[in-house]
Amino acid sequence: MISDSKIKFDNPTIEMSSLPQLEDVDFQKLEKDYLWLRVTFISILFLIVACSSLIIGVSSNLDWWQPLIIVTVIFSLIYMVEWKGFKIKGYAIRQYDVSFKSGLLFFSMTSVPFNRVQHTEVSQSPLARLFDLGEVKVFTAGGASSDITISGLKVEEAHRLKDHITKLSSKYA
Amino acid sequence: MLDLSKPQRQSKVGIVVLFFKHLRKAVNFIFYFFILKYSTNSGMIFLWAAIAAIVILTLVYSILVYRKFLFYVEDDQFVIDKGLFKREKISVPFERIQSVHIDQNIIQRALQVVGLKIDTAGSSTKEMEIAALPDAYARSIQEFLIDKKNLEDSENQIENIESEFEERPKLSSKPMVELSFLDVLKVGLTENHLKTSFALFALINGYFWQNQDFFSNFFIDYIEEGQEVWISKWLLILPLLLITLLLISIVSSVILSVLKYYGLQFMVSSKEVQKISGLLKRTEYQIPIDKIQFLKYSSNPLRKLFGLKTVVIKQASSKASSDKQSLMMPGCKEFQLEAILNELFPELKLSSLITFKANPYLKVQMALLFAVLPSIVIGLLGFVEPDFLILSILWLLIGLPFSYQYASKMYLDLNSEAMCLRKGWLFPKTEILKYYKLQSVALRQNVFQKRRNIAHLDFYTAAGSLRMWQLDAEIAVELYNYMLYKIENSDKNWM
Repeated sequence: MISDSKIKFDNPTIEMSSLPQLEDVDFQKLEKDYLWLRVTFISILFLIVACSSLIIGVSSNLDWWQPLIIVTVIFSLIYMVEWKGFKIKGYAIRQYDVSFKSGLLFFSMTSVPFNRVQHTEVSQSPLARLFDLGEVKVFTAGGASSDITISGLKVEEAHRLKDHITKLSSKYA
Repeated sequence: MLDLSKPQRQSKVGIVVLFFKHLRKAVNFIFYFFILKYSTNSGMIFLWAAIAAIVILTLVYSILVYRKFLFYVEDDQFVIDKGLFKREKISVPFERIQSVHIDQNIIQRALQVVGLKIDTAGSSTKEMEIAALPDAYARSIQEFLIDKKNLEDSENQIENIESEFEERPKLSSKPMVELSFLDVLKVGLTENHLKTSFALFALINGYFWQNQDFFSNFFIDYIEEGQEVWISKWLLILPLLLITLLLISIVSSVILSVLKYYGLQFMVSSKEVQKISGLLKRTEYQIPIDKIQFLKYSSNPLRKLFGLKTVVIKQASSKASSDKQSLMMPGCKEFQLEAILNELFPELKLSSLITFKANPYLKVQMALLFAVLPSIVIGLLGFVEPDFLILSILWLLIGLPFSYQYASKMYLDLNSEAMCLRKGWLFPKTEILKYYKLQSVALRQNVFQKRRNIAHLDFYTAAGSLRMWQLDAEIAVELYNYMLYKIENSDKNWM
């Protein structure tokens, strides 16, 4: 196992390969409803853009369906990215840290150790209320892009998760 | 004895300090009256009356501001009560005080008073600033506040209780960095003049357009007379203008450098680092050692000739990008930098460093982004104006080696406790960080990177984020796990 590691320090107090690895099995999928929430959101956008493209199509000297075709193609791509991307989204709560990953085209995975959590928050958008979904925001002192937002949780679950993270991080405060 | 329980006023001469401070803002108005006078052809008396009115108003305003400005201590908080039109009561609890600075500008120096500034942790950006205090008094307030703050801190952390009885550490008698007058001149001469002159150009341009009517009235005769000359000779005039700006930039850089860095001294004690510098305005700036998040040093082609490096020490702050929250020292020599690193980052010497290079794909990425793409855009303009085709090829020829060199100089050195990020070719910079100062880690990989199995690694600290570009994915994942492990297993406080 030791030879697996590409990194070897001079004074190894620990073996790299014995370190806890953040692996795919650690991650939990988001609620399926979250996908429907996103689809609803995109559909509303689609409706608005399609209507305005129809108006443009009719009022200009193009055929009325031409702008609509372009808009539909773009949006079907967006739907596809959302669909495929949903499988990638996930969060992991381990003993000492919380992680979130997402992004089909631009994958990113962020981990915040509990001893660096500044505070946590549950929030819910108006649309999410319809689906009974909420999100947990984990703030650090490292600025906005280092914070984690775990979206796509049932509201009770979000509150439970927030309490859990708060409890674990308050040990260090 | 220092008694702050009753509201205190600053020194009477504070009126003068405030007057000059406000006058500096009022000068802008005078300039507009100047424009008004010339554009309406009103008499000299009008201008003088306007200036007199502004000066008197500023004086009255300063006196009132002085009268309404009080500071005192109340319930473990330092309070400033101020404001003429809008009363403001700013209070900061002792434990939220980050640092207390004393500085002195030329007017304060002439009046033999100093200014006191209090930095707070947290997002409130309210100004805690007292304009004029006798030097000894200001220092006793500074000492008082820092003692109080340390007391609060150690009450919060029982294990630190011993430090409460420690005296405030004496700064090491010998400064770690000391700039001679010659060093300061070198710093001014080796400033990035291209950047400064372009900034100057933009500034002049902006000011010119803002007051276009005024200036065109002024120059109209010359412009109309020489219109043809202007247009046909623009090829000559533009370089001349740039050279003039370059000269202005060099001269002003040298002057600014002398004003800002004259007699720069940098000292390290067991608790804090301190910088003192400035010719007319002596500024003292200190950062508690615990608050230091990372250190950065950089250079440029001219400075490399003199062997000079700019060292920046970044401290935890809610405004990570703000320069005010970091301590900057240009003109450090190699041995001085070495001494600072030995003192502040002994971890680097703990064990040898392993070096990772960015994946060669970075060269492709940089070449595409900074050489090929811009060149194509410029080339497309060639359809409109054939001259652009030459420019496009020129850009490509210059851009390719630059981006290649830049991309091949991206390294991550690390050992078990700390890391160095080295990047840049003409403007090399190195960032040094201890793992336990990290707030979080992120791994980013877009579709193109996924195909090549490489990824970016982002390191977030309370003083801003750092990125290692294009690491091989296995190494990136391993480092990600390792750094998380180091953060989670460190009981050291990141601030």
